[in-house]
Amino acid sequence: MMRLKRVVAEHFGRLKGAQLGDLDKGLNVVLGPNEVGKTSFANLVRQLFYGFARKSGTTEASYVSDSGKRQGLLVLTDDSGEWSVKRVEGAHGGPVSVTTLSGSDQQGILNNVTSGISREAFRVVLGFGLSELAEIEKGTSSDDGVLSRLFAAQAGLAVNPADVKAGLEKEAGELWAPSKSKPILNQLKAQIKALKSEITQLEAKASGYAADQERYRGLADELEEARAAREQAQRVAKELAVYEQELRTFEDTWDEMRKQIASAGPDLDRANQALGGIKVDDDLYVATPAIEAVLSDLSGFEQRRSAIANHDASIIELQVKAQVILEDVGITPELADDADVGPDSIAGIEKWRDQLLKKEHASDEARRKAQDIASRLEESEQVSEATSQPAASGYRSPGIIMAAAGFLLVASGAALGEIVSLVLGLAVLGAGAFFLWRSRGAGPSKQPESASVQIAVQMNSAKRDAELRQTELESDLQAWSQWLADKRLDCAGENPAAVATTVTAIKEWRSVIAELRKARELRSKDESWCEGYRERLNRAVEGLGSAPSASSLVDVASVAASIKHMKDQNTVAMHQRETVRRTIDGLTDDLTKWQQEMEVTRSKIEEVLTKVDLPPGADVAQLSALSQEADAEAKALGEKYDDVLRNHTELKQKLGEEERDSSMAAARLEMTGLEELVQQKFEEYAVLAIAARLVERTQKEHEKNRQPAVIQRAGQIFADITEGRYTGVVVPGDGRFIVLNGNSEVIPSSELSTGTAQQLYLALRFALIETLDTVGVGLPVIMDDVVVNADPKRREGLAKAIVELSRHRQVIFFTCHPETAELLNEVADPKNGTGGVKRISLSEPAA
Amino acid sequence: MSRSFKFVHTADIHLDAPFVGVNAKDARVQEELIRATYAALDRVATIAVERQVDFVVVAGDIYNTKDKSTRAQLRFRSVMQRLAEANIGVYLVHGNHDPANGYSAGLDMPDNVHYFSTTKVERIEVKDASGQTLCALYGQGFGTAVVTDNLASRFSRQAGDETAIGVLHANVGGQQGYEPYAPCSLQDLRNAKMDYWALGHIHKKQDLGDSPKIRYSGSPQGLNPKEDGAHGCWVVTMNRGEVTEEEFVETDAVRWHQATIDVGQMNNVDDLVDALRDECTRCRGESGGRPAIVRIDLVGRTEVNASISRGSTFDEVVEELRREQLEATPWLLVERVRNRTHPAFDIDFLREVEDFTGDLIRFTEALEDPTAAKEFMDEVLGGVDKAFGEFERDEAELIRRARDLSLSRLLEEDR
Repeated sequence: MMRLKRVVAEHFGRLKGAQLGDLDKGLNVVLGPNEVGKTSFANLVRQLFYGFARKSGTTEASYVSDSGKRQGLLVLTDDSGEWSVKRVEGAHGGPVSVTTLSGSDQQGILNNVTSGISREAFRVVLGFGLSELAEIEKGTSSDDGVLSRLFAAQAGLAVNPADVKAGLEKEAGELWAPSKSKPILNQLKAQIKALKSEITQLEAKASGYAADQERYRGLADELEEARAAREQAQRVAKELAVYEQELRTFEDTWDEMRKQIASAGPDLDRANQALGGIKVDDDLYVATPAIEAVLSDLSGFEQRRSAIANHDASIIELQVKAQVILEDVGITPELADDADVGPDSIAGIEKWRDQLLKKEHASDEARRKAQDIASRLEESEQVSEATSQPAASGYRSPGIIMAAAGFLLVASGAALGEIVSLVLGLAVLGAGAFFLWRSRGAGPSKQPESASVQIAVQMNSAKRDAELRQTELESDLQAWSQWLADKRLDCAGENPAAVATTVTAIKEWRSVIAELRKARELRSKDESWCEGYRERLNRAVEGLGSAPSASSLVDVASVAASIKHMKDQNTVAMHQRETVRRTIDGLTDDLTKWQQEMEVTRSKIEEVLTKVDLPPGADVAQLSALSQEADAEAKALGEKYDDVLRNHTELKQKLGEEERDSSMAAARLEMTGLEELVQQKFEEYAVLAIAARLVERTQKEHEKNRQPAVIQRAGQIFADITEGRYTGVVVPGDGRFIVLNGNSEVIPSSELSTGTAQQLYLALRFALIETLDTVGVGLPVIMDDVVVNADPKRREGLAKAIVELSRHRQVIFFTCHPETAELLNEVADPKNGTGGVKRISLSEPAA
Repeated sequence: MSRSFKFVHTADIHLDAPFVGVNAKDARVQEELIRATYAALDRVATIAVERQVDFVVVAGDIYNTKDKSTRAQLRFRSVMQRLAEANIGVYLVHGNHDPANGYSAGLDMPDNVHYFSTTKVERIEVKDASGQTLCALYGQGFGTAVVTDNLASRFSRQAGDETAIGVLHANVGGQQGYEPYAPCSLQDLRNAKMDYWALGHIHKKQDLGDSPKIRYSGSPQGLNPKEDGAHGCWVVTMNRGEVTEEEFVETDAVRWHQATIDVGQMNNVDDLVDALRDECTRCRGESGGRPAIVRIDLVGRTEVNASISRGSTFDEVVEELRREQLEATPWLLVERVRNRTHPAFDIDFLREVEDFTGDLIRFTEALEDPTAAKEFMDEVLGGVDKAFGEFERDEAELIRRARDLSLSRLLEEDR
């Protein structure tokens, strides 16, 4: 069983480094003189178990130490080990540290030891002095009664029902308590009250809405009327202001016109003078477009002059080229011009060339054959000298050709005056005549009449063939000559190749002649144009006395420049004169216009005055006065309108706010939220309050039904102490203790003597402690000189009761009376069957 | 011959009425709740316009006149104007919350709005724009807040009506939880020979019969925890006295949910947190994207009871859940989580033991006697009742919870 082995006071009141113990498990009697520290130790034990008392605000002595923080330790022991519990002054009674001296670790040892015994219960029931003795009776009927607590502990509950009840009530009290403001339900009640008030106000405000709505409608009508009146007044004022402005403008216009007319006269005179000073040649100006037209072509003239020079150079070049071509083929331009050199001629020449070649070949072949046969015949006849002169006949064709060519050269040389051609032509012609003369004596050879007739026949046949071929050739040559003559190409001779060359030259000549003709045409055209230009130029200035004229193309450029200069000067003068004339015309028009405008303005002024009911001749000042009056009226009506509008707007806004205003809905929502919260909190409160009451009721019933055993035991102890003078104790439940004497008389505790009452209280404590059994195991019973008021007899009875108690629980009995210590020692003598006593002397006053 | 026509049937709009049973501290939630009834009305109007209905009937309780909410009446007028622009007529009866003699902001309603008489059943022929008669509407409103006469018995169909519709604010069949105003029976309604009854007063939609069709539309927005689930209006199509089509269209802006979680099988607070989250997820799923308010009761005998019955654990769990759910979009307000769990200990065993706890249980059971209970409760709660007025409460439940709490505390150390 757990018990206290030792107590060490390191700093506690006057105790410093003091120790109590070792203590026995049964009765320990601590004897010491006054002020040795007995009561300090008794208090130290309680404060080490339950925490150091606060320095102030408590009825418990605090034992503040001058030497430092209060601290001390308890050594607890049981069969399994030993533990040192040290407590140092600090928050919440001071921190505790547990040191295991032997056995298993038990950090929670202090809670285990004190479980079920509150600090107060310990102070009153287990650790007490004379001053606490009577407290056991105090509050018996209340929930805080020590007895109640101990009874509960005795009932086997680890948790004290009184504490449970107190806890439940505390929690309930946080939810609601009458006449308080802090609990939640109390706060909610206040909030609901305030919210109800707010809602009432909002409802009152809503009630005014209908009235406001009606007023709003009235204001809307009033606003409409005010608006109409204001607009009418503003319209009048505006019109008058416009008329005033118009009138002012018209009068200004009138003045302006008058000033302008006055200043325009001198301007007109100055312009006329300037006009007189400007000299213009009108004829020249009239002729200017024609002159400018001619001058605009001057560059063309110059270009053409340049072209004419180019044409001249080309013409000379082409003439030389044509002459050389004809000289090369030796014909005259006339012959060349007359000859047919078309495509048929060229084709004909080629045809004739081939045909003649073929015929010449055939004739030559036949002649050679005839000569061969003749040679054979000659051989055979050995005499044959008469042969034809084929060579002579061979001269005919060249003779013809040369005669023709000579004729052509003579003709062209004569035509062109070319002496060389003429002489050459005569020479060729003479040669041709010679050949023709030679060819005159040619004819068929007389066939020898030899023996060889066959050969002769052959020869004759061959001769005939040769002659035939020759005849054909000559026929063709004649036809060829005739063809050439037809084509007027006979000037080129009869050689087809020469004829072809001549034809080619003629064609080239004709091309050059065509170019030449074209060049001459162009030159003629340009020259004609330039001449025309000169005539145009002269015509353009014809009749203008001062203008020069061009007598030749060479003069044209200088004359044109001179004319241009004259024309430009005259044009500038002309423009100046036009400008001045326009100025004069403008001024004249303005004067007319201004005069008309003055008339119109005058009539407008009259018109405005009529409109505003002012007599003719009235001025702006009078109209301005009228306008100001209208403005003032419009302003007054405007202010009235503004007032109505302001009221109207304010009311509209107010009504609009009502529409948007969700404060009532918010307030009602908040209200319902609060009511819901109240309902929830009420339920929480109800459960807690009912639970607290259930525990309280049960506890009372429990005490009532299960308490008698304890009371009976207290009665026995009390009887033993008083040696039968009192026989029993009764606790009726109304807060009183009643004792019965030997005569069964009922005596309230309040009527007992101090000593007897103290003995009753001790008896009650001892009975209670005996029943605690498993509760508060390890907590010793500490008594501080509690038997001093007992007489010797009863002191002995008390000693026996104390010794008996020590059989159930460790007892530490402090006393300053040696005889009390001795008495306890005697009573507890093991010889008497008790466990003996451990005597401890505190002889030295604690430092 | 009349043509097919379509109308919206709504009632019990209770514009600007405060939500009951909700403690909303979050500004976003407050704002949404304050505008919820208006949003629901707007949706009703939108449905009417979009579906091109021919008219709208409102079977009473548009607003609470006792609340004197001008805003409600102004907003109602603006919605009526919107319907007027769509050429949709509105036919209304006054209900017990907006009787004819109640507070009025003095507003002129547009011409499309017609209130039925409060002194007799009024018959109105509804015609379309071409002048063709669609149906006959019969209705009578509340002249005062309290009408105990059977108004339904006054309705009678006129001969020649091709289609007749009754509009009435009444408690049919004496339904609990609602004032017994204009009480009537189903037979009273049938006797009137209407083709359709558009009823108001009960805040949850009800289908009381098909021959004729008798419908409560319920309120377009649930206003308290009991009005959980979907709220909306009926869109009805009729032709020659027959309902050819009817559809309940949801209109609520905020949805209420009530849930119970049995925590009997749970061993720790984490399990509880998971279960609470799951419940919130379920409620979100059933809210169709709307904000929602959820009340949850935890029941069952559980080990968790001890953890959540003392200290701040339970409050912290609920507060964290509330914060978490409010931060999501759309928000979900965990308005209340009640701990209705029982401790895990065996009451029957404790009752049999002759000790303090046994005494306590036996004493509690003695309070099952009504007289003893009343005396006990008066003693315990007399003070708070005096301060606040007696709260609505289930005393047996309170005593049971108090017993469990006491036992938990007394046995705490042992456990």
